[in-house]
Amino acid sequence: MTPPALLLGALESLLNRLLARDPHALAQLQALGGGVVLRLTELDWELGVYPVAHGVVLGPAERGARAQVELQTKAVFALLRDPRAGRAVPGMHVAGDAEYLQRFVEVFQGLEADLAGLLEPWLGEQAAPAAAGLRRVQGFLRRGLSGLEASGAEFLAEESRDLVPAAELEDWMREVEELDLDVERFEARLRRVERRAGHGGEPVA
Amino acid sequence: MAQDKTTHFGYEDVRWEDKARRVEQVFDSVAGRYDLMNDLMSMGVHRVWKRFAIGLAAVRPEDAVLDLAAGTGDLALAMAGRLGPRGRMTLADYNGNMLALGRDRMLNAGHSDATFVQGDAEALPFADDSFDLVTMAFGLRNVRDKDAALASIYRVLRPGGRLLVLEFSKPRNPLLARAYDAYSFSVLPRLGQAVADDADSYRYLAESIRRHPDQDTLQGMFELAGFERTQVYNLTGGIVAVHRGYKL
Repeated sequence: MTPPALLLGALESLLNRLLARDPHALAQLQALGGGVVLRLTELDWELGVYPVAHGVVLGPAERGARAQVELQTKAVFALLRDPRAGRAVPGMHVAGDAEYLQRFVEVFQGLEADLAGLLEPWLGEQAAPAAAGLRRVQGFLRRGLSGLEASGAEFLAEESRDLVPAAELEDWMREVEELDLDVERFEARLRRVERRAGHGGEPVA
Repeated sequence: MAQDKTTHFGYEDVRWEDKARRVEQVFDSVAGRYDLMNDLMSMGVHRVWKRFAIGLAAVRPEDAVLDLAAGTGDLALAMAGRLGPRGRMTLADYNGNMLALGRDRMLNAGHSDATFVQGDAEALPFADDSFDLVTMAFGLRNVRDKDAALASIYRVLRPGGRLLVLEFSKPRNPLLARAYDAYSFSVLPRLGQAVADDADSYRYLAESIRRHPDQDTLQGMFELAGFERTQVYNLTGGIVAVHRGYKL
């Protein structure tokens, strides 16, 4: 299912306005050609992002896309928080031409969001101070979100003990692995004992 | 025979060669109060629809742009502001009075380098592959042969060029459709009578909207004309839709 057309149109307009302010990025996109299909698995949304002469077109997935990216909602939020997180984000699955995708994503990562330029048609001379204000709010929200995440994790792990701290979890995992290995060794030894007992062989050391 | 060919003018069937004249009469009559009526009828929302369409058009500074049914130049004014020195803006309209209003507004806004052409969308007087972008806001509805107009637009677009048509369409929600019908046939003619002293033209507006192809049909017509990567964007519940297609 394609996302609502109005949402796609608004997003496409915004991307194209950003690209119009960065001719180098636009030229890079055009040189890349092809396209990328994004699938948001939980929402069952699928959309294609295709470079065209004036920027990008967002629309239904078509043939000609060179890479596919499946994203769970948690991966979308992780990427919104840190657009440079790359493929290490949990809940993201990539298929197709990975090198192409890397270059495609780099074009958008390199885009400078010229907020003042975007607001200028509506706010005129007030665009620059308004953009600065928005950036402050953005920074505040980002710091707030990171702080909330860290505090929440600390509370759940240290205070309420609902979650296990990462270090304890790693220790536990290591111990489980050791136990698993020990069991395997023990089973192998038992098999050896059974084999030798069955053949009346020499005693086990 | 050609003289027996008919088309619709609102709910009325008229002779093929009469429709253009009748539409011209409508716009001659409303030209002076056109912008005011647009604001009153749509309660100002037409500006949002046009802004959305312009956003989708993604005008580049070097684009050659043709605004068809340019009327009083709402779209052309906004797009001309995004063109650079190498860009080119052409306004075309079938109706000379409407085009004169558009020309005055463009000149007053300092866009003296724009070109103004009175012409028929069905047979555009431009060379093949002349434009990067063609827009048409609230105009296709009044064209007699929409397929011919789309074919003509396709011809004048350069490969890679795009067409955007902003036009009234069919509301998707039945409740909204009923409310919209009541508004169109009861309020609009009265508003037209009160403000523009012309109820008939606004009755024609409501009727012509009902006779206009719905979203899916128009998208099919785009594809039939050769446009690819076609998309439809419903606005205000489908009362208005933007259709976009590319000549690839």
